[in-house]
Amino acid sequence: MLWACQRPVSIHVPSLELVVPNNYVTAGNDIAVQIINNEKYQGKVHLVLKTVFTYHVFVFDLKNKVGEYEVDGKYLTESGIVNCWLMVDNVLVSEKNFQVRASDIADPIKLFTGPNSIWVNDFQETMVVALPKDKYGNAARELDSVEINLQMPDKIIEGEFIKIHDQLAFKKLSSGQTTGKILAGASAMSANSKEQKVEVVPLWPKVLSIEIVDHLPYADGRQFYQIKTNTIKDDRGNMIPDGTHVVFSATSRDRKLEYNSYTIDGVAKAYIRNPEIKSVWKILGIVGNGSIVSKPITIEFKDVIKNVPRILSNTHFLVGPIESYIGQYVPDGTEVEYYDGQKTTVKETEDGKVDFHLPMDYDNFYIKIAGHIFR
Amino acid sequence: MDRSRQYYLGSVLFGLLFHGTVMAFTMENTYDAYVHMFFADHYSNAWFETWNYKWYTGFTMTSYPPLVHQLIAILSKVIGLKAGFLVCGLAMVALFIRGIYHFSKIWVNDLSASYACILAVLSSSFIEALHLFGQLPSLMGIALLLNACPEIYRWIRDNNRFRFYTGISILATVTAAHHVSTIFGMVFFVLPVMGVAVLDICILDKGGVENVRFMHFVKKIWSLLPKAVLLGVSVIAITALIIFPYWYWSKTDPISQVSIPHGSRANFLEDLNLGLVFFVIPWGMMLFFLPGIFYRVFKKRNIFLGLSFALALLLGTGGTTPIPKLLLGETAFNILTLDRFTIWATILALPFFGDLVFNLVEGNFGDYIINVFGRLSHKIVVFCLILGLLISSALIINIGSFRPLQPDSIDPDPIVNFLSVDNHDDWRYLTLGFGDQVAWIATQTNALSVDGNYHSARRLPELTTRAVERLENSKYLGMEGLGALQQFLGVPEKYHLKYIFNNDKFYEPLLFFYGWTKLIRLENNIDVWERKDVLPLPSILPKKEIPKIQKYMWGILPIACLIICLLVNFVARRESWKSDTLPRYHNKSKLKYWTYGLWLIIVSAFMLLFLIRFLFNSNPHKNPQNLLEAYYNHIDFKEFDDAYKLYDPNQDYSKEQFLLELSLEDGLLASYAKLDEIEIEPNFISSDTYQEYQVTSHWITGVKKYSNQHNYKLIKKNKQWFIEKSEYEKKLPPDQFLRIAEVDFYNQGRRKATTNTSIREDILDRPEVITTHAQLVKRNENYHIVGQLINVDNDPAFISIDVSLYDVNDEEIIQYSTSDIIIHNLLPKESTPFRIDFDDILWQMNKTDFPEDFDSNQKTEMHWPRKPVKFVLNLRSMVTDQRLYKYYGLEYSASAKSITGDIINYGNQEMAIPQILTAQYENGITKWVDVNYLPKGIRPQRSKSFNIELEDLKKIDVIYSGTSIDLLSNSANQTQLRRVLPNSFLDKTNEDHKVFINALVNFKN
Repeated sequence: MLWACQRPVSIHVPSLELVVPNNYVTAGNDIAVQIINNEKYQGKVHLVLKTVFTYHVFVFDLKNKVGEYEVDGKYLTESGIVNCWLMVDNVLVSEKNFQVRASDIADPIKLFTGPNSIWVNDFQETMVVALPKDKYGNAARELDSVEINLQMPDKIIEGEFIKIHDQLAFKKLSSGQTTGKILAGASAMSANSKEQKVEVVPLWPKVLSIEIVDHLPYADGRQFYQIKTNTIKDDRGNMIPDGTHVVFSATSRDRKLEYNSYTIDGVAKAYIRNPEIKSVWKILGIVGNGSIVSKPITIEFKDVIKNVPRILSNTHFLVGPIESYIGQYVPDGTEVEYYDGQKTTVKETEDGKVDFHLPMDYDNFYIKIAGHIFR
Repeated sequence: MDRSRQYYLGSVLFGLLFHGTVMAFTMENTYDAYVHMFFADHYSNAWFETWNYKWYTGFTMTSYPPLVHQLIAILSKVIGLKAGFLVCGLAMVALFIRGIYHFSKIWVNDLSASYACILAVLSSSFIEALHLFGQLPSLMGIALLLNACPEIYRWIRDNNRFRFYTGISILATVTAAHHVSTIFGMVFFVLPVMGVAVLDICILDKGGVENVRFMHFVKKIWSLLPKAVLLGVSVIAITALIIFPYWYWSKTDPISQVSIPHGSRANFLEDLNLGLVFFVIPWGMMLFFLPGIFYRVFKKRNIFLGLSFALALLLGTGGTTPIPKLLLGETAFNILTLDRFTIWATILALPFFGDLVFNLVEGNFGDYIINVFGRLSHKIVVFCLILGLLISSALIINIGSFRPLQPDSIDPDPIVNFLSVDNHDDWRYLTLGFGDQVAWIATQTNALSVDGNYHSARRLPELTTRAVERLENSKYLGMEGLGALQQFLGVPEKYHLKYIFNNDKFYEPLLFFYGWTKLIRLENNIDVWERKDVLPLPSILPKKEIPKIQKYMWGILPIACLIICLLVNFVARRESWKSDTLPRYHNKSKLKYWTYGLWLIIVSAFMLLFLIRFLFNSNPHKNPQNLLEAYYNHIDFKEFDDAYKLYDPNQDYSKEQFLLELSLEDGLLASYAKLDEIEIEPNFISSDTYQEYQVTSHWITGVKKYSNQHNYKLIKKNKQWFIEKSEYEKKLPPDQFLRIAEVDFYNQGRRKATTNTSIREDILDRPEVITTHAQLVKRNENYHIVGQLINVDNDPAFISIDVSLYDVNDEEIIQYSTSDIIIHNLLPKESTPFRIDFDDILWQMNKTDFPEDFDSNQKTEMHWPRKPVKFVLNLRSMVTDQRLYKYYGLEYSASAKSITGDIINYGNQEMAIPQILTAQYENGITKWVDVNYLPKGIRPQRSKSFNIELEDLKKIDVIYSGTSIDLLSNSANQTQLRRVLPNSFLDKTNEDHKVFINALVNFKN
């Protein structure tokens, strides 16, 4: 280190000239340096090579007028400028530089992609970047080429040779029109890279429609009817991925319902419970927070109550058995609201029946079932 | 060998056998044993290192005198930590009994002193402190102190200079073991001993205690003042020097921990259970002999001890009277645990208890009973005393059988193994529901925890501003405890907290709704919960360094004290085997023995009254109030058999039906709540035999305090009240068998089996999530961020939000994150509202105490240091493969003030805890978001109703609406993303409100 910092001092030093390779030296290759000894100086000289990361010192014994000395390539593995200093008795007598270039690209070529998923709208881009290095870890030579090969979802693209600039070779990709995987690989000379992957993902759905698969058209508040969407695709015809959230929303007068579901093979299904009151519902399918909406469909539910016997005994007010549309009892758990003239009680039917205490006000009591009032 | 020495040696042997055997079984169930082993483990690994990273983001070991821990550490190198603790405990027992013997000989004759030794082995306070509390260092302190007292006595009375050295060496060791024992011990033990020594000199001079006058005593005190000063200065010097790093830490890094409630400070007459634990149990059989003890300690010669004894007894009564608080001052009263004074009082009384028992067995008292009641009666009395001592000892040792003090023993190996694989210990962890076993887990692993079991040393303001002993048992500390826990769960990134080991179902809703995912169940049935997107600990952690000299002091001086003490007292002591001729000047007790009988009757009457009251209160059928309280108590503790017995046995309601109805539905209240209190009000009283009551039960759950109302019909038969069974739901689902298709996700994680860091290819891109809008709003002087976001990506996303508030000068005021008012896991194209509150952390900023009556549901005024005027919000997302359940729907109608409706579960899993998020909009933008939880779960093809009150939006002011600059997504601007997906989602809505549902589902398959 001290030698490298020293300037020539005014003492008699032999006139020696150092000759180094003019052209690039490939990393790892042996080189020969010449020392021209016009004064036929006899003695030891130190040759200091300063590479990118370290110093190497060689000691030569000068005897002849011109001496050629070999430097092993193992000292010249780092690409970059190598400073050579010829020193005699700690005095710098000659200074030269030469450049070490990277050797051939070695396995494996580091390959990166990003972002790793892009929308299939040809708007978003991804990039494939190769960082080739030689066997010593030096970045590959500028303007060398790396072949980048791509397997697109719909076709294979031949390899393209990309020149290396600033230590890397890159290629921008658009997503194309088809969803799927883009596989990328790089090769150069005898070196290759690992496979990299970019997912081209479907866009947001564009067309949404819904249909009712089957339903019992009676407002029993119990049965479920199935509703489902079409096979939802984006505007490129790509099916949207499994697990996409879909909401089925319906309104009827002041009541609203929203049922969650998600797609499997592009189709979302939900089971919606029949209402408890005779009503007509308008149903929509929604993806997202309201921008993708289907056309509405209408569904109607008829009254489920056919007959409501009511008996006032000495001790109780008996309601039922409440008859439904095909002569069956209303389902267990059907709520019956009873206003006795002073307060309201709600009970559930069992076997179509329910009993209450006697009314407090015989003129003003009533029961309410499925929206119907019976006095 | 005379009889007293025989009894003394026999006591030591008996004590070692008895306590050694019992400790092997009780040690692991005590409160503090594992904590002391944890400290010992630290010294075992790094003797001179005073900083411990394992708890609380780091704390200093100089916060506790180290001698006992260092001894256990040395022993653990050969026999392990538990055996080391046991051996130390045995050494303490031997020292304690020896100390009692020699201390007692100052006050009573040798034989009485030997009786005191026998009683010391079975002393209730000693057994409680050792086998229930595990307080080894404090017991070691008192054991050593008792041995120091006779030395000080002999030094003053006999002017034996050598005794000064033996006494001081022992006091130095006391300081190294437990400095509080030295400080308070000087007052309660050493001062009375010095006083009696001076008095004995006067008695020797004057030829009898009755000849000693006050002025004689004062003159003698004056002449011996230099000795007292020498002792005082010496004790101060050694106390300061030996644990100097402790004082240095106290002075330079004072911790402002708010007072943590302790049962010893309670009013024992109001809370009888605490009175039992902290007064009746420690006094034990001594309670029956209190008149005799009082009489003896207030004899002329014993007056100094008497004053000390009375003071200790009074201070040990805690908050029963205002006197302890007046004497100690508010600060000391709220910091100290007062049970130590009761222990000291019982120890001070032991010599006289021994004397009384000696008199009863073979002295005047015994003769009196024989003369009056006969020899048989005397034998019965002695037998009852022995039986009482043995039974009380057995009951105290087995108290855990009646009411478990700790969770069941947990095998630490699966937890340790989990933390040691896959670099899991690069993050911090937390345990919930482990009891004091947290300390044992900590000794087995190198991983770090945010919690700990030594609150005096912690520094995190989230903990020091709350009266919370540990996070891990926060459910027992009400909403304050849960509030502290919620902060750690809501902002785990701040502490690099990633893993939680949960042993208590109570916390599951809290973990789930705060964005944690159940990862696996370990072989020891502990659930591991994980939080995504938390950075690992940095390689260099902050540490409070102390000067190196202090580290060496801390590592060398305590052990050196012990070695010097042993050398001085046992090796160099030439007089150790000479008999000690202490003067004893005891008068015959003039107290009439019949007063003992009277006292016995009074104490027995109290106990009988207590028992009757207990039995009365415990009879649930006595009246409707008892019945309903007992019922809820049984339900809270899952004692379902006992709960069933409260139903009318004549009804057609089998136990199987009762248990079936209980087990059918999961839910917040069924499985995840702890009963806080109940209010019982009569609804309808038709007669003496039939009544209807409404019970409002208040439950503490992990997510909020919950109130539930239920009506009960009660009937009276044969003078006993019973509950009439209520109607169970009759609705039946329509389908017997369901076919449901599902989508499941799976993240491979590292695809290559390697312990290296993940390669880039295994890391998934963060899903693209957009905040459609967000606003800073003000409600009741509190500020909140409300808004809505949507997962625009094709992958399911885990979401967390960080937000910073800024003042008018663009300076940051506060930073916080979302809690449970958001759906953390979103499917592709799913949206959620969110709300971020700042109340909980504002306390730390203001460095004020957490108010006792804080209720997050109530409107509470907060003091903001600067007014926020804008914010920056950053959404963070990660791909999640958590199984999500979305097969549910809503049916509702809304008015201006409320939304009423049903949640319908049409899928094949039970929604254990449904969460309802209600977003209210103004001009299409979210203005308020609220959260509610249903108390019961919803089974497949069933529904549950809800009723939600809407907020009056006029009371909410919009301070600032976020712009594209303020709303970031994964730290990047959202503009580019919006350009890629034009018209795919709406920024505004045309609705007034919207309801979102989320649910904790315990998947059955």
